[in-house]
Amino acid sequence: MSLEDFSLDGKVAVVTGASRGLGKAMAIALGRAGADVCVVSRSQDQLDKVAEEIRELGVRSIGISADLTDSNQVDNMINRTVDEFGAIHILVNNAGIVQTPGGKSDSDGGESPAVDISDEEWHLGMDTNLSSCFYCSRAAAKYMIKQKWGRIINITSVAGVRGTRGSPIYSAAKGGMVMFSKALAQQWAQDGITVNIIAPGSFPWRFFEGVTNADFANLRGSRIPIKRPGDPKELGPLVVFLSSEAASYTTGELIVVDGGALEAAAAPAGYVFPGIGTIN
Amino acid sequence: MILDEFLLNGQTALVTGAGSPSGHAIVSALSEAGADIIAVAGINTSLDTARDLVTQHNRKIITLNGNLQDEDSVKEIVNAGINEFSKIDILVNNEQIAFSKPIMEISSDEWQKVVDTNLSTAFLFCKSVGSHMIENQQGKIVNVASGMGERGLENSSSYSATMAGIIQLTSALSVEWGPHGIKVNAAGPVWFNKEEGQEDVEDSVLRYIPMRRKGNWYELGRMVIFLACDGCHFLTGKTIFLDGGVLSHA
Repeated sequence: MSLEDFSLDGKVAVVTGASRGLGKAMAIALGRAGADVCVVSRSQDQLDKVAEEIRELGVRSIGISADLTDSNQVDNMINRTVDEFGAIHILVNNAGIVQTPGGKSDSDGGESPAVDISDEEWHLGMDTNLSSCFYCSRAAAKYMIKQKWGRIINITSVAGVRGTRGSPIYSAAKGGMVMFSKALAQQWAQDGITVNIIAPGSFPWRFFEGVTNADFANLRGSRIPIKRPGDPKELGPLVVFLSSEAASYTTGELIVVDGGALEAAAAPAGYVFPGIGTIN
Repeated sequence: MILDEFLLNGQTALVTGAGSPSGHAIVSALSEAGADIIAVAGINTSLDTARDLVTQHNRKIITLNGNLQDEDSVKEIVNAGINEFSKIDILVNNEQIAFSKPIMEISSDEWQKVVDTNLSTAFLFCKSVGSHMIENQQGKIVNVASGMGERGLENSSSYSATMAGIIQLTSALSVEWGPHGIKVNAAGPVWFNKEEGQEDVEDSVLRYIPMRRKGNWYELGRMVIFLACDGCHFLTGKTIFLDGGVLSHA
């Protein structure tokens, strides 16, 4: 069969934050590529539905509800996955929270002023976005190092790559995730484990549901070179590729998936560089 | 199971530098994924291996040689490709030469030759194939860059400058052509073996590679399949490195 090394047949994946949005889309893509998938979040009801949807693809899937800020629960979750499916090969750390009023991103007016952030909010953001990534990676890597094969994909955010006004906690945690991943890539490079980072750009369904594409174009879309927001489904093939044998020499990479938004200079759409168009 | 999105059935890819080890890996990978190939190389470069590889995957190929730094000649090549397959869905800019000399010893002619081959060729093919892609309001461009576009190395100034140029060409074109549905990305190999299948012999560079091995052109081929496929329509302007962890190392 062609492209066999793009297949995830026989692999076991854990996806956190998988009950909806990007996490759910990535979990389904991994299942479509042949992996057995354990989906994790706090909501067992939603997880059961997602697991059911993945099982319909012909692979095994379970949902485990866990509080990922508690490392005991994380260890139990990873151990249970291995008990159930025999191994863990792929870990997608996607769980996170945005702490702006209404969960809005900064370009849509959501802003959490740093002077108003309480210690509790700060620690909640760090625990949920960053410590969870550490706990899950640590627990999974114990198995991955033994089997000399693993793929860890950490989902950060454009807010972890460039400065945004929205949530300083989120930015710090997501930026921390980027460098945590690069450090892990170094530590585990000789253990057959790759660690890569995906920074999704504008996927509007992520934070606020019910906003239409047309609304979105008015809000933010005009600053995206390809003139539309991202569809969560569009993250699937990248996650599958990075999880596969086909991406064996790429580790420690940060891949921003943003329709080109971060490539563009800060200028209105269609703004013409005021240079002279002829060279004599 | 293989995601349908990775398959390139019915698509046509034009690959420059198709007579080199990287080019062989790229045409082999793209044809394995189902694409027909327009294999392009400079005047005296053999494309026999490219032909064999594509034929083995039961895909069609035409081979075209020409002066890849001449705009008219590039247009002729692109038109010949379109005449054969009626369209070009994927452009892979892979023509490049390596060049290593201390900057004080580089002549202007040598500098120009490196810039022309590594950067101007990509410019000319982007322009020529791009006009066709703009007409179709879709297309995928995959540029082959290098880790040297990101980091310096002794005696690499000319090559590094052109590879940084490729990375920024990728970024700028993604913005300019985003509204036309054209996605522009790059793959950046770092420390690859010169020939496919070559063994890592005692090489002092290995201990600087976190994975302790060099990359294989086969792996570049896999990356090019991904960047060319229909699975990454929201990914544009980016360079993804294949570096065994080198660039994330301090």
